[in-house]
Amino acid sequence: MSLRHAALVDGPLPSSLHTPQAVVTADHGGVCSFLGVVRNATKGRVVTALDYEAYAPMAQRVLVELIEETATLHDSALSCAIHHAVGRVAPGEVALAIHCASAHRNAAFASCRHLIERIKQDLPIWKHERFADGGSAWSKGS
Amino acid sequence: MTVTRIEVLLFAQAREIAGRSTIAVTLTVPASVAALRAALAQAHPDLAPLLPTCRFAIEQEFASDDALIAPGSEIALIPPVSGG
Repeated sequence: MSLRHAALVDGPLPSSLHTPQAVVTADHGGVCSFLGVVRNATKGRVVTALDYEAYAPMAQRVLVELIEETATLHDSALSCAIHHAVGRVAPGEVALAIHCASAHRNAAFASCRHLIERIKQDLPIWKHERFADGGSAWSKGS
Repeated sequence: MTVTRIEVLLFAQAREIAGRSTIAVTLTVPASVAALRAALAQAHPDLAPLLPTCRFAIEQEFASDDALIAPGSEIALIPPVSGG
């Protein structure tokens, strides 16, 4: 059975969303997780916080579509949970969690890799970086 | 051919530059996304430098430059994304 879930979360992701329990069943022999953690520096400037802004209804829809796309490409029986933070997240806190579970490891790795790359391309979420020197800037992405 | 007012949702640096979360332009419909981009650049010169890097979404789906805008659709300007 496939479990698929995607949601935006206010603030940093709680530790309960860092682990893949929600997608692990006896059908799934391979589970691959990716966590996106806020770094304390970018391009030599000390980061004090990120503020994530989302086009929320489209972001929700894009996440669901990307999970379906991934299942079509890599594993029709994929189980997957994705959560993305919106609002303020501090260095060391988790802003994104992707958990992919498949019968075997190759599909789990490939699905997780595909999802993070597609999220970077298409998820309508923007990070505003706040720096220790008092400045701030919209991230150019990566 | 009808002239209509199109509201565009703004996010991130586009919202900050415009100082508001929606802006309106008048367009002759049917109009393409490319025509909307050109009309926005003309009506809001402060946004013009950002527009070539942006995509548009119609009804929460990315739209190509030749896609047509139906009056009443939800239109959003999508600056380069930086999630994750």
